[in-house]
Amino acid sequence: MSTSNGEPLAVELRNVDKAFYGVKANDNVSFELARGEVHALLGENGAGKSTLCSILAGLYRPDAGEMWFEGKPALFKTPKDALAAGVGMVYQHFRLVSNLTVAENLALGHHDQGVRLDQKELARAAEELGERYDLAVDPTARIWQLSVGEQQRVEILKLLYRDAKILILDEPTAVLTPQEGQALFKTMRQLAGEGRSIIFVSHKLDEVKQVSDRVTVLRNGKTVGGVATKDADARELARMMVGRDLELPTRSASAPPGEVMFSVSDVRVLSDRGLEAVRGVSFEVRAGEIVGIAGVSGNGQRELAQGLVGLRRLTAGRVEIDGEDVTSDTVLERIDKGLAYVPQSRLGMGLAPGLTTEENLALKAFRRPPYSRGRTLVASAFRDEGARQIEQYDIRGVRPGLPIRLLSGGNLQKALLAREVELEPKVLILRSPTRGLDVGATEAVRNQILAEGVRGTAVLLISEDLDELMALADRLLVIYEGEIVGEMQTEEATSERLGLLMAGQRVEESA
Amino acid sequence: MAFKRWRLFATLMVVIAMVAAACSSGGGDSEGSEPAETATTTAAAEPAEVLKIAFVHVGPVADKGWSWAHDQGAKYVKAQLGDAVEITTLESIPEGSDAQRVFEDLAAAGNKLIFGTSFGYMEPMLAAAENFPDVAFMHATGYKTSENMGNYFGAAEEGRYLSGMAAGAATKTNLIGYVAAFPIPEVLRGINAFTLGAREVNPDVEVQVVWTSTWFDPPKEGTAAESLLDAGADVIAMHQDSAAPGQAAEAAGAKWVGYNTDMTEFAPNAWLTAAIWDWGPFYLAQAKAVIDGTWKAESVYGNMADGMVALAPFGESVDEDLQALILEREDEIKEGIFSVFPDPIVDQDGNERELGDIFTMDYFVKGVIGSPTG
Amino acid sequence: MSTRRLIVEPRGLASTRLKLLVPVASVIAALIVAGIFLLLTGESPVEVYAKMLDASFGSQRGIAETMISATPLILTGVAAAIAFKMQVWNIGGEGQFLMGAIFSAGIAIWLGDGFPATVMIPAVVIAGGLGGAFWAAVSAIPRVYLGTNEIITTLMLNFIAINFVNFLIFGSSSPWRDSAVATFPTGRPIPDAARLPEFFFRLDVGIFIAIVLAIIAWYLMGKTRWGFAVRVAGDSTDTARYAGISVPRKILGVFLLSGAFAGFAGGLFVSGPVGALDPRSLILNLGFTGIIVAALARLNLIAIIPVAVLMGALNNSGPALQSIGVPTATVSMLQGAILLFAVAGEFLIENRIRRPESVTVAANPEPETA
Repeated sequence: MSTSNGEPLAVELRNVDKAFYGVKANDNVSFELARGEVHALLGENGAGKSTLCSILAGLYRPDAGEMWFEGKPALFKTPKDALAAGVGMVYQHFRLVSNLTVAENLALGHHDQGVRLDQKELARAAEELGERYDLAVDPTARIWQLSVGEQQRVEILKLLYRDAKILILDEPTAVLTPQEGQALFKTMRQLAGEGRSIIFVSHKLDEVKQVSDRVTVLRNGKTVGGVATKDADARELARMMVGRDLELPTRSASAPPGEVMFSVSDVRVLSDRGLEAVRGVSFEVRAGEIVGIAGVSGNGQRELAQGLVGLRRLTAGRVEIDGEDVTSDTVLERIDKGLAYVPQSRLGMGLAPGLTTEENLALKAFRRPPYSRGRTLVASAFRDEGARQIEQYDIRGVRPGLPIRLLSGGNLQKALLAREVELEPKVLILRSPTRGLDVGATEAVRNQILAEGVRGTAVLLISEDLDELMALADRLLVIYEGEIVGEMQTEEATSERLGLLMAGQRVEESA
Repeated sequence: MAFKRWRLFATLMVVIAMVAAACSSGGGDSEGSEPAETATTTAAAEPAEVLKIAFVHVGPVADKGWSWAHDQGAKYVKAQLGDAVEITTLESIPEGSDAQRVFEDLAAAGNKLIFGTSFGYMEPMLAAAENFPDVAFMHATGYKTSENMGNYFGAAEEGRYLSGMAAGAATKTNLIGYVAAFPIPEVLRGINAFTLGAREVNPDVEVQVVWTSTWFDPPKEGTAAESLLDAGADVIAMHQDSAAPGQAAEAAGAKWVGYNTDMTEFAPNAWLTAAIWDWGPFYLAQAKAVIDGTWKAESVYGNMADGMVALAPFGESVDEDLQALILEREDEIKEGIFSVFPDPIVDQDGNERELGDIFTMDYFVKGVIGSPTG
Repeated sequence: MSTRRLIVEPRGLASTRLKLLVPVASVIAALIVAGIFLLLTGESPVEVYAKMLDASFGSQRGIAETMISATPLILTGVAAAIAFKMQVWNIGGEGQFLMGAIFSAGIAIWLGDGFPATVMIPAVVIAGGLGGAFWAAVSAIPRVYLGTNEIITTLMLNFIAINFVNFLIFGSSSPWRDSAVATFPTGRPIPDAARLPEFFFRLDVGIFIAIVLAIIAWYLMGKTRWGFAVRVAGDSTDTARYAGISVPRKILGVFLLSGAFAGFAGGLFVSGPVGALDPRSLILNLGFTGIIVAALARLNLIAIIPVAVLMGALNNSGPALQSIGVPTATVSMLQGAILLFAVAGEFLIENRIRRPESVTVAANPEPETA
C-alpha cells in the first residue's frame, strides 16, 4: 500500500484550479491516489472535496493544472470517458432511474450490448457481484422499492459491473445506519484488497480513522496536507480541517423541563403514494426540552414533520400546542400560534431561492409590522431588520440584490434558523439541521438550537445523524416504518442500541 | 431551477413568434415572380412635375391574384408615363384601423394619388383623407367616399357568368365546388352569376360553396378545395387570391375556374378560364387626371365593355364550339344586350323574387348549395 | 476534436451596470449583424436604419403613431410579465385582449348615446379588464382546482376568442355588427362619448392610462403584501406553502390580474384608435407580442414601457422600409434578428463565456488508451 514501490500512481492531480462564479473551488490542488488504497478526502463543506472528485470523474474540466492517470497525462471530457477508463463515482444524490429494476439500472448507459437487454444475464451478473462483495440486492426489484442503503449498493454495483478500478464515494455514510456503514467499510476494504483504489469523502473523523489508509485534508479549496491514517491524530486532523481548535457544542445538564408545550397523539399520515407513512405516533415535548427522533431516512420522518406543521393532512390523531388543539389549523394559523419549522430541504422548501436574504428573513413575518403597514410593505424594515439579523446570526456572503440561493449551505441554514428563531416560537421542529454543513456552521447551528432549549422552547429534532442527536437531545425516540419503536434518555443511549432499533429490531421495549 | 425554465420558455416564445411572422408574411415569395415594384428613388430634374403615386395592397403582390393584378396596373402606368410618375408600392399591409398610419405616412411623404386595393382600408383611408385634404385617395371595392376620396370596382359578375358556362360544360358529376372568401355582396354576386352561367349550358349543375374567411391563405384555400373534391365536385371555382384551389384541382385531375389573373401556369391541365382584372387603363386615367388637375372624387364601376373586367384565355380542354358560344355571350354583354342577372330572379329555395340592388345582394340563386350568411 | 472550447457558466449576480449595458450592446450587435445581412441583400444599412428611426421618431406624427402602437403592448406586456413572475404560463393574452375588446365594445353599444364621456370611458376601460379577467378565469379555475395545463388551455382559448370575434361580426347579426352596412360585415361604431380623446395627432389618452396601469401593477407586485406573497409563490410553491401562503388563491389572483391587463389593452384599443369591434383592426397578435415585450423587459414592469415603445417603433417601421424598396421579407427578417439578439443579450447577462486559462493536458486527446 505504499506509494513508493515503483508502481505508477492510479491517479495524480497536479496544481489543479477550478473556479465557479469567480470563486476558486479548487486552488492549486494536488492529490495522489495509489493502487489498492482507501484514501480519505477530509474537509469542511465548501472545502473543494466534491469539486476535486467531480474533476476526477470527468464531470468538470479543470481551468488549469494537470491530471495523470496510471502514469500518463489524461483528461476526461465526460463522466462516460472517465468510466470507460475505469473511474466511477457514487454521488451524494443517486443517479438511478427509480422505476427501472436494479438490473436495468446496471445496464444504463452501457452501450456495448445492443438494443435489447438480456435481463437474465444482467440479473445473474448483479447477483454474482452482490454476493462476492456483500452488496446483496434483489436484481428484479425496482429502485423506488429499495431503501436508501440498498440504492447506494446499486450505485456501487453499477461501477463494479463496469469494472471500475477507481471508485469515488462522496459522503457515502451520510445516509446509512451505523451497521450499514460498517458493512460498507468491509466492502471497501475488500475492494482495496483486490487492487482497486477508493476515494472516501467524509467529514467524520472517526470513520476516516477507521477505514482509510491515507488522508488528504482540503481547506478553502487548497490542499492542507496528506498523512498516513495510522500516524494521524484526530485532534490534529480536525485542526487541519478547520484551521483552528474547535469543540462542537453539546448539551449540558439543563434546567428541568417545564410544562408540556407540544403534544402529539396517535398521528397518522399518508405518503405521496397514498401509503400510511406515519402509523400512530404519540409523544410530548415539554418547554425547554429537546427531544430527538432518530431513524434512517425514509421511515416517515418527512411525513411526520409535514403533518405536524400542517403541510400534510393527518388521517387521524391530534396535535396540541401549549394545550390548544391545532389539528385542523392551517399552516399559517399554526405559525401564528408559535410553531416554527426548519425543513430538511433548505432551498426546496425553507427558503425562496430567487429572493434576497433580506426577503427570506421576512418570509413568515412579512404580514405584520414592522415589515408591513396595512397591506403595504415597508421597504426600510426589510433593509434594517435584514441587516440586523445578518449581523446577529453571522450570515456571510450577502450582497444587495443577491438571490439567497447563491449563499453556501451553512449560511443558508443560519438564515433559515434565524428567521424561525426570530418568531420566538413555542415549538421548534427541525429536520437534519446540520446535514451537509461544515464544522463551523454545524457549531453555530447547534449553539442556536441549544439556546432555544434554554429559552424555553419545546424543540423536536428529527435527524439521521446520531452524533448530533446524542449531543443535543435530552430524550431520544426512534422511528422505524412510521412507528416509534423505542424511547430512552440520551444518557442511556449508545449507537449500537440506536442502530438496532433504527434497523427495525425490537430488542426491548424501554420506558 | 425556475429561473432557467422561464428563460427557456421566453426564448421558445420568441422563436415561435418569429416563425409565425415569417410564415404569415413570406408566403407569396415562393412563387418566384419578380419582387414588388418599388419607388424609383432617382429624383427627376423638376421634382415638382413628378407625380408621386402610392399603392397599398393587403396581400403580397407576388400572389398572382388580386394584388398582383393591381400591381400590373401600376406597372402599366409606369410604362406609359415613365419619369413623370414615381410609384411606391406597399404590400401585406393589414386592413383595419392601423392602416390609417400607413396612408398618412404615404401622404406625408408627398404622394398625391393613393390607391388602397382592399375593402378593409375604407374607414382608415376615409380618416386619412380627412387629415390630408390635398391628396387624392382612391379606394377599391368600398362604398364610402368623401371630398378627396373616391372608389372604384368592376362588374366581375360578367366574367363570372362566362366562366360559369365553361365550368357547367366541363362537369360530369354535375357538382361544382366553389371556394369563397367571405359571405358579402361582392362574393355572393360572383357565385350567383357563375351559377347562372353554368346552368345556362347545363341545367342540372349544382354549385357547392365553402367559406374560408380569408382572402389569401393558400393552405386553407387548398384544403377547402380538397374537401369539395372529396365531396364529388369535379370542377373547382373560387373567389380567392391564391392559386391553391387550382393546384388542388390539378392534383385531383379535376377542372378549375380561376379568378383575378390568367393562372394557367399553376394548373395547365385543370385550367378552364377565369374572370380577370385589367386595372391599367383605369389607373392611367386617374394619374392623368391628377396631373391635369381635373381629378374628382368619383365612384367608378367598370365592366367588360370598358375593359376593366375581361375573360382569361381558355384552357386546352375547352372545345371550340363552347368557346364560340361563350365569346358570343361576351359580345352580347359588352353590347348591353344580355344582362347577367334576370329580374325577377329565382332564389335558392325556388322562389321568385325581385332582383333588388345587386350591391347589397344577400341571397343565393337556385342551384347553389350552402348558406349565404356563412 | 476541439480541445480548446469556450466555457459557459452562470454569472451569479449581474451588476446593475451590466444589466443596462448588455441590452444596449445587444441591440447594437443586432444592428451590425442585420446590417451585414442588409448589405448582402443589396440594401444600404445606413439608409435603412435612418429610415426606421425617421419613420418612428423622426416627426411628431411618427412619434404619435409609435405611442399608439406602444399603448396596447405596454398592457399585454404587463399581463404576460405578472403571470410569468408567478410561473403562471398565461400565453392567452391574445384571447384575453379580444375578450376585453368584446366587453368594451359591448358595454359602449349597450349604454348607447345617452351618457357623458365621464361615464362611458371608465365603463369601457373597466369592462375591458373584466372581459380579459373572465377569459383568463376559464383557464385559471381548472388550472387551480384541477391542475390542468394553462399553456394548452390559454393557447386554445386564443383561437376560440379569435373565432368568436369573427363570428360576432362575420357570422351573425350580433349587436356588435353594424347592421347599417350590407356590403361587408363590420363592427358597429361605439358612441363618440366612449372614444378616448385624441390630443396629439391620432394619439389618444390611452397611452397615459396604460402607463398608469403599468405603474399600478408594479406597485401591486413590488410594494404590497399580496405582491410579496406572489413573488414567494412564484419562486417556489413549496416554500410558499411552508410560509403559510395560499398558493392556489395567489395563482388565481395573478391569473385574473394578468387577464385583466390584457383585457384593458383590448378595451383601450377599441375605445382609442379602432372605435368598433373590428376583427381586422384588432387581430394583430398584440397579445402574443406582449409576451415578447415582457421577455425583452426581463419581466421588469417598468422596463416594459420603453420596450413596448421600441417594439411599437419596430412594428411601425415596416411600411416605411417597404417604401424605400426593402422587400417585406427582409423587413420581417430584420425585425426578427433584432429580437433574437435582444434575447441573446439576456443570456449574456445571466452567463459569462470565457476561454479556459490553460489546460496542460490538452496534448493528449485520448485518455482512454492509457
